[in-house]
Amino acid sequence: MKKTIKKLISLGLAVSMAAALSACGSSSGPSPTTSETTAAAGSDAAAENTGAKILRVAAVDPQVAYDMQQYTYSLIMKVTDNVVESLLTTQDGGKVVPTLLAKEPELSDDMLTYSFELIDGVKFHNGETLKSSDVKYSLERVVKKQSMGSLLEKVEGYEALADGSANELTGIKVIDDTHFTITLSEVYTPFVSVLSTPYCGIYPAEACEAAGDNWGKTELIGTGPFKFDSYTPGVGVEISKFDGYYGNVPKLDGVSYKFIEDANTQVLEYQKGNIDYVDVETNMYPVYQADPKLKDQMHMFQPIGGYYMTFNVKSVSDPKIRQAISMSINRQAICESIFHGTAKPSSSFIPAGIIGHDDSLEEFAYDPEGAKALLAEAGYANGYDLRLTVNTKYATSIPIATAFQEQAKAAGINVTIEQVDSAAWSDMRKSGGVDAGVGNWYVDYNDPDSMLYPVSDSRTDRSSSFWHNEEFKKLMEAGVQTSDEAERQEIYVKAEHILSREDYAIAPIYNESKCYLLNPKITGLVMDSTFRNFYANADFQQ
Amino acid sequence: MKILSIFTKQKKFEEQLLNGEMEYSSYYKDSFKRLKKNKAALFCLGVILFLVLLALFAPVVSPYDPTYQDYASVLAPPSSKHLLGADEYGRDILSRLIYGTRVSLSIGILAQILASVIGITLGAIAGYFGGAVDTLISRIMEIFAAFPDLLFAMAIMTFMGQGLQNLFIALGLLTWVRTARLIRGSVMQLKEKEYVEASKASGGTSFRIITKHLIPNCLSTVIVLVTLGIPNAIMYEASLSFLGLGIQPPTPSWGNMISSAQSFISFLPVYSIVPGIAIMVTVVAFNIFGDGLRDALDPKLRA
Repeated sequence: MKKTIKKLISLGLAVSMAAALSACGSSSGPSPTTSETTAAAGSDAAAENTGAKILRVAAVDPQVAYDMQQYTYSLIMKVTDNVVESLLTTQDGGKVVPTLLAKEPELSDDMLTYSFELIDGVKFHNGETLKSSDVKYSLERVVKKQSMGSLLEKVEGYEALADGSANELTGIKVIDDTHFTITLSEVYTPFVSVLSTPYCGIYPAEACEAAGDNWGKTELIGTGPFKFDSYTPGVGVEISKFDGYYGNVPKLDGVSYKFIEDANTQVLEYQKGNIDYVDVETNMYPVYQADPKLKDQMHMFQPIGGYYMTFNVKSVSDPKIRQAISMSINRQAICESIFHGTAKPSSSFIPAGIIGHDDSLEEFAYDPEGAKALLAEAGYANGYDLRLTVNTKYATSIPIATAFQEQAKAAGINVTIEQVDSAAWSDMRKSGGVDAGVGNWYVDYNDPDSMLYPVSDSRTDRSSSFWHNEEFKKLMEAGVQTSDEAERQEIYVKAEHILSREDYAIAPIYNESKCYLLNPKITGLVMDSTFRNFYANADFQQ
Repeated sequence: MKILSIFTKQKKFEEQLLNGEMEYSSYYKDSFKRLKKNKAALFCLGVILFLVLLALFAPVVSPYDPTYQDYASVLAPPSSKHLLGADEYGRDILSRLIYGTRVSLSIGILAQILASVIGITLGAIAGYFGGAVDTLISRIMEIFAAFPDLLFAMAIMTFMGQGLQNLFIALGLLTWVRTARLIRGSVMQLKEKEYVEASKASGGTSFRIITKHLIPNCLSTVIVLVTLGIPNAIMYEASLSFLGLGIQPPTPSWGNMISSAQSFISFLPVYSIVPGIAIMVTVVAFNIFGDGLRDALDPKLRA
């Protein structure tokens, strides 16, 4: 019996330890400047004592370089948005305003050549002055790095640079240090918006070239209001105020990004007062809404885009099957119950607020019986097996998949959920190993061309979709060559119809609101539909 | 005086036996008698039987299908409709708990059976033959024992992929070493006994000696090992499922219930507490029963 008692005692110890651990989370409210810091953030503890204004943001380690030209994760953008600037910026509502440009770009009569003028004397963080040649270098680098290169495919000379037969983008002509022109090979109306994306951020040519593979890891230089101090894997990123900024110098002394992998722990740290800003999973909404303290500190914004199911048309080849799958998603239940009304069922892939969205479209109905009939027509009267892959780094995809798994049973679809991490997900998509997946996409600029980017003809072979449709491709091309809004609306409505109601290349699920918790003492930090993280106007209210 | 009393006691025994007042009873019958005296162990046996029945009759007992999503009751607190509340998909927590018993018990028992089969076979071979065979098998055991348990299980699961069968195999591979070591020791002791020599003299093959004489004599050790090993396997299953490497959703297991409940711990405490209690009760029941069983089977060990 002695041993039993020993075991009981150790069990008791374990229980009390667990209780002690969970108690840690519920201590005092947020206090930004005087709070204790973790051992990892020891370097800025001294700064805080002297009253420096450091915004502390909960983040996740992307485990790759902070370089939007190579990696398109929103985790990276959280930092780079404040360090690197593009020529222009898209504001809430879709208006594109010049950032590094002295005035709006001028378009030639044939609608092919844009002329730009840079603001005189803009300094990079290393003291160099921004020149036209830096712009040319940076845009060429976007193409060379491939990841988002096809954004610039309409620029003259793109093909040659992309396939390596040339080493410059002939469409970009440097006139002098502050003037340059970009010539397109065909009319492409959203081009100015493309230049406003974070992927077209401007780097100093010499420093970037010298840093090589360390760019975005040990060194990252831009023209932004904050300069990149350090990136410590597993610990965090430090950025600080750039005094030589050409615009309004930020009121904050710096931003400290703290890597906390688990979303729940991020919120606990916020509650302890160690973090000022944290993103919140929407399916946790009622939990924080029920907390009287957190309730008023939670904010919401609606990014333009949403979640959808992707299909590999090689393995799920019959459009009838894809339609049946789309019909067995109970979008209403997912939005109303699992995401507690924070999301709205999609009626189309192109969301409300941009050209091409059709208000008159009916919602996708949940019709398991109809789905069953379609599957029977397709030759799967006895049920259909579907492997659904989700990326665990986007935690929201798991509840979507789990809900769908149960909903699809009624239609005779047996869903196996395969959970993979970000690295495996990227590999599987590249190699075509995803049969069906849960994906999300948000526009980089308010144009249907940006929304349809993931299903565009040049992109589908790289995302395990392999969907190609001649008519759709032609409509996409026509869409960017037309400037009349009514005409564009018509074109994209047609394209949308092919995509989500005829070929069922994807199944839109919902458009959601995103939530974040913000220390009430901080002013001037607002997340809006652009989903960009600009902290230049943020300040601590004493 | 004391010595004298022992002698008289011995004499009394002999008399009783001769007069037929005392019955002969087998080893296992004796053990059972001893076990019956241990009230705590008996109670725990009752708990275990209850859990086994619960697992067998899960579809009859549970009020809902464990994967049925009742969208009207997402994260609902305990009520008459859902006795222990509903989870973040509106699934009945009580039903999931009951079905979770199936996973936990079957993992515990099957993993131990696998571990015992490997452990007994290799342990007996090593102990009986000795020499080079023993050295080889012992080194293999040491290699397996050299890895930290949970890390080893995680590595196997990552390598073989998730799923119920793979979990059996991973946990079996994790725990066979302990069985093998004990069996090897016992067999080395037992093979010197007279009855083994007698069997050898009358032409018994090694296979016959091992299966007919040595293993049956180790059986009590094995029974104790299995009962004490089951709670360990249950804990490992819970840990692995908690880490997302064990049972895959939507199959409910106590481990993955706690894992998904941790986000809601302040909002719906019952969701994480209940599967925690289930694991605790099961593990404690098996441990106390296993201890009782050992005391009963091996009176020499009694403290």
